[in-house]
Amino acid sequence: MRLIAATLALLFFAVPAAADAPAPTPAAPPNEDVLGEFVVTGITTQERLPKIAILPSLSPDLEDVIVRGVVRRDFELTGLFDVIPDSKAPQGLYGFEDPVDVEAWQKLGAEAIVKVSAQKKDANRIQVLGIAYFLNVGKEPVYQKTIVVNKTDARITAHRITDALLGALTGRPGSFASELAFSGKWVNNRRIFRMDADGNGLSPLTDANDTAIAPAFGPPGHIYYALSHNYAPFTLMDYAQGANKPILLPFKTSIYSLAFNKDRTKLALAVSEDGRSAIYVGNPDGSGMKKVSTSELATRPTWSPSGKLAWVGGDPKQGSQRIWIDGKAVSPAGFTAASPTFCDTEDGVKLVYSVAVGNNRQDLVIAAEKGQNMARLTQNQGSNSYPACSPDGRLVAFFSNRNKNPGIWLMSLKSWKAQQVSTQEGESLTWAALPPVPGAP
Amino acid sequence: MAASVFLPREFALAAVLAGMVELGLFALLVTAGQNRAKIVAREAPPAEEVPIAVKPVLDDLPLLKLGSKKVKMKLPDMWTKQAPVRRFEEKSAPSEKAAKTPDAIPTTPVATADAAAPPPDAAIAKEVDHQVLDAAPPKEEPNLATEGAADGTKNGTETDPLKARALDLYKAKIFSWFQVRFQPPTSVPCDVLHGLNAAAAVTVGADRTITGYTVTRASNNEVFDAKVKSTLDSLVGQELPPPPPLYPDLSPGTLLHPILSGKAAKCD
Repeated sequence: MRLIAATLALLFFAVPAAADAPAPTPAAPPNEDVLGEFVVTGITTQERLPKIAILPSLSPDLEDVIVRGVVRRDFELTGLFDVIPDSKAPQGLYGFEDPVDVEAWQKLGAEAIVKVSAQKKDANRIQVLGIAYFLNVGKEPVYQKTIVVNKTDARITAHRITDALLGALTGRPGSFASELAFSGKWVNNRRIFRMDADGNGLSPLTDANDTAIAPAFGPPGHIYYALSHNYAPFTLMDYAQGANKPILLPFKTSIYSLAFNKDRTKLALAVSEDGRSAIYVGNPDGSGMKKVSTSELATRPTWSPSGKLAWVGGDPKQGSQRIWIDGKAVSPAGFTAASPTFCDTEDGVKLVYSVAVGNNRQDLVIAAEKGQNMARLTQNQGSNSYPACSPDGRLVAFFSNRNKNPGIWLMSLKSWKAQQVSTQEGESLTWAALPPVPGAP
Repeated sequence: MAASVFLPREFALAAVLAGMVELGLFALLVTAGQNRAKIVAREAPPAEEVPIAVKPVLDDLPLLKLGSKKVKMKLPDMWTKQAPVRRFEEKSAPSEKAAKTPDAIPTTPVATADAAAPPPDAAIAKEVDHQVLDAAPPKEEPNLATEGAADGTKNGTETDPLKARALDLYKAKIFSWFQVRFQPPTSVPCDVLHGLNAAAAVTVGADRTITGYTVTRASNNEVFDAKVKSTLDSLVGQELPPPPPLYPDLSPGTLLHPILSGKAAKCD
């Protein structure tokens, strides 16, 4: 009887199981593609920022405090990482030669550890150390560099260490070893100012009695700008190593703005012409200038990394100005656009410019290199203008009066987080990498 | 002598009746343990083996190749004396939290003000005659036949952990590029939409521009398939994100296999 019941039970369960079993299919060929199959659902979620540990400094040495503080601030400005606060740092030794307690940081959820440290080498020089660990790889550092530099170069060396560490962590080096330049108000005039990427070292480059506008980074170490003295027409000037010298041009009228291409072999100028303005392109020394603009008004030229020339063009009869690229208007009609710049981002080259949104306010928008797929970068956050992209394409600097804190702000194009780096107000912001230094990290 | 209240036969009858009651109770006790009312301890049923499907979740990172730093073959090093364990003398340090009682007075000598604390795992002794300052011998690194990472796997292919991470980030960027360009149709009922998906083969040119596509498996839902087609049509001619500058050799490949799915569609 029991045998019969068991047989019946087995038969009862075996039938549906056999029905559910997949039909035998021929073995699929191995997928040798790089990415394999991946599921696209159309649901985009906020990208999780990897947790990173920047080891604190307990050293009383000033150079160690500077280097470590600069690197930590740079990493925070990138907006790429969730930096573990110092208050959560495990107890331990954090000297120049002390080992890193990888396990203790791993318990805090760190995915990568960065250690930077500096110590005196001799009276005038310091030794700077930078190490990075990936905790999913092991306890051995994946990046390690020690360099000896002058004591006065502690800050810039820290920026260079950050750039190298970012390269190790992401495959794209950072660009904190760079400087920003802009035209800022000075009593009744305007002067050209420069500062480091993190807002440090702000200093004027031009005379307080002149009106200087539209700075642009030229050949390494040079900043070109337009200058007017005693209401004379604006002329082109070259600043290098503390000295300003004029550049001779075949124009007697004012130069409104200027731009160099990526390798600084071409110079574009916006030149006043018959009550209007036009774009000319020629050599950096001012020779070989040829008119290239096709719009009735043309000013604020800028080059894309791939060699496209954009400018602000318009027809005064229409009352609006648009962004033109290589002779074609690309910004939406009916919106007053200004200050175009190109960003060489992780997603490719992007065009960023400002658009007037009423009430004397402007907002920033980002689009593909040729102007399509436009999206807003700012909205309901005061007026935001004069964008400038970091050389690595990760950050956009701009003037903003958001949160009743006017000044220069940096926005991460990854996390969209904006942080203020200066309280200076101005216009014509521009950003470029510092010349490379042999032996730098 | 007083006369008895009960007759002798009454005594005898009472004894017989009492004996019958006792016998009845005894019989009841004997039979109670053998009928269905008997309470029997129930044994717990033996645990049954239930097969479950285990689906391993693979890390996105390419597996690191098992190996070590490439070291040239060499004779073993000369024997060296093992460094002795460094011991630290037990000492007391002043503390604001110490109780103000005679019992709290430390019995060990007080450490000097500038003395460094011993490591957390240090060996502590009452008295240390000789201060050992020898460094421990360097740890011998494994010398495997192939170059790779000490914690890699035999099936790993990538020897550079930085490049492995960069590739992982680049793959995530391409996935995200497709994600923002596909929106499931809203006109399909939610319960139907969640079960739909279609596979495609997307061809990529040398300049990372999408040159064409083929729908390799349709969902068999007219609306969903039309949306998939319009999405893929719009991708043709667009350029995929560039690889990180430090690894320009990273490439998305010439053929991508996205599966456009409605399983995560939000239905209001």
